[in-house]
Amino acid sequence: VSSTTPTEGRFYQALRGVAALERALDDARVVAAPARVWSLCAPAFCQCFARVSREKSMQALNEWLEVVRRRALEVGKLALDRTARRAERERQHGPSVIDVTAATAPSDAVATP
Amino acid sequence: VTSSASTRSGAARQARQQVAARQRRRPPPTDEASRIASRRVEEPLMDELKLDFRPLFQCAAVYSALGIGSQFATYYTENRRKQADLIDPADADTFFDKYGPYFLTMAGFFIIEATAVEAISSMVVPSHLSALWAAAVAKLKVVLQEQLKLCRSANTLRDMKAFVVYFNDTLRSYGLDVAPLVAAQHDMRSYFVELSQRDATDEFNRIIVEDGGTPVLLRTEAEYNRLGARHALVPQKRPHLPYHAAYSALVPHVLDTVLDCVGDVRVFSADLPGVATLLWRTADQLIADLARRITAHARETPSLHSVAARVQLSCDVRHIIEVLPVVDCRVSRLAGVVGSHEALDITEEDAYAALLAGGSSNEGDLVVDEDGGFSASEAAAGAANLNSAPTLRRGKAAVALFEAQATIVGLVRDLTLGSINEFLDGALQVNWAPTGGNATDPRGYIVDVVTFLEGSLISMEPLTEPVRNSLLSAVFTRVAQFLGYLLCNEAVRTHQFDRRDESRRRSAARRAV
Repeated sequence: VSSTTPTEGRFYQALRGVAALERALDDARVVAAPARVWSLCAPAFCQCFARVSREKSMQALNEWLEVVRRRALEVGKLALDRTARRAERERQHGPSVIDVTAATAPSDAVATP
Repeated sequence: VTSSASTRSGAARQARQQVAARQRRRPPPTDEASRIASRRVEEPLMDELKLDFRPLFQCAAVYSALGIGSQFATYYTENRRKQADLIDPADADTFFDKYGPYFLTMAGFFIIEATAVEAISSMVVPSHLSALWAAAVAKLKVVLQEQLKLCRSANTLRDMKAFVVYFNDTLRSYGLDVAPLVAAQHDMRSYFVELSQRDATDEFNRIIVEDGGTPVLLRTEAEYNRLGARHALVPQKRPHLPYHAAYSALVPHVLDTVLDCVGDVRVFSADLPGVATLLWRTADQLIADLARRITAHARETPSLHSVAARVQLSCDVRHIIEVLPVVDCRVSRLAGVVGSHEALDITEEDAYAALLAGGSSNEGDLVVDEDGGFSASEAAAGAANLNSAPTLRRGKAAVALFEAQATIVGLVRDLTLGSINEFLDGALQVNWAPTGGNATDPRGYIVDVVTFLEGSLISMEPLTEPVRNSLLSAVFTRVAQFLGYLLCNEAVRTHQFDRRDESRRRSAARRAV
């Protein structure tokens, strides 16, 4: 997903803001202030990052849903073509005997989250 | 963040473990499993399509890590349900233009869904896929039923069935229950049988009109062997060629049509149960229908108002009856029951040998009753009671053929006696006591009668001996009785007819005979 969600934009903006604040406090020689800033911000950043992840993954999911909706016909066509070709092969040469355990393992690229 | 990432990686590991566990739980390889396996040996479908499922899995992992997996599941399942509802047939006329893309889209949708649900099964309710599939199957069944009603061609139906079989096979391999659609295949098969029988019936009509009446002439050894090999319609010991068969081209052609139709039904029924019974029933109905059509043709066709044409038709029916055991064996072979407990009591070779040896039974012969009539029922019952008789001879086919033969021979008798009656009516116009040379003198009349009887004798030659004897006996009895009447009748002898009262006299003459 190339686009940036609004929350994600604000998150990185806040991150940059806190980093700038940290640098300013450091420049002003305020003792222990930078660490204090991060400890104060961390819970909010965690929550915000979770929200960003959720929004980004949801956006990606929506795009994926649209892609699979559009490509369902193509998937069905190829699957039935394969079935027809396999049936034709079996008619000509008989059914193939294959090690099922090995053969049924799904592709890692597809099945692994 | 670290904790979230760790949880996400844990979810991924858990998904992999679930897949591995499912694989371990798989049943031992069966034919079905082997078939499914052969699908997977090819490059995975989604890899070939470059359809990436990672966005789905990532979203599932994120929501799961955040503890809101149920939100993801609800959102995902609801969206997919709406998408499934939105799949509609295109606006087109033919099945393949309109419903081809519809079925393919459905197939694609459920292949994707089955693949997705397999990987995120811990997050979506188990009934999600089955509920979606049940709704889709209900729609698909309605579509198929509607299309069946619109289908008018056996060829189109054959294509439709092949398409539905591939559809079912494909989705079955993804674990979806296609039993309701297999039931639709049964409906398609029933309708295919109906359409095939209709086509065969049209073909019968064409054959009866175009091929009937002219006896077959086998000129070459190739023709002789082809006919013999296919229908056992030639003598075992090859006679000198050219060979004039007693039956017309109608016989081999209708038998070809019956066997072709049964063969088509066999091919259409591949992978469906109950084939043997269906093939027997189809062959039985076809032959019974053929017999009815031949009978109707003999009764109603003006061109068959000649003894020879009807005798030929009777002869053709007799030959069909005689080769029924051979047809039986062919149907058994198509049904795949030869050699099993359902096998026929006789083999094709046995039936053929018995037939060529002159026939141990009297199939094809009609029973001549005391009144000189022809009974089909007794002959058919005789055939039906044969313990070793194959199914076709126990079914409607044999009875209908015997009835057809009885009807046609009855028509031959009616026609012959009707012609004789016309001659005898003409006798009343003859001057039986001529005083000089006359065109209508008794000699000329008797020559006409003899010529007619000679013609009838030749025409009846192809009939079996009992039937031929019975018919000729009836004809000659009629002639003898009338001649006796002429000799004894005073008015005839003196040629003193009152022409104004001719019809009354004719009736009296008939009554006297």
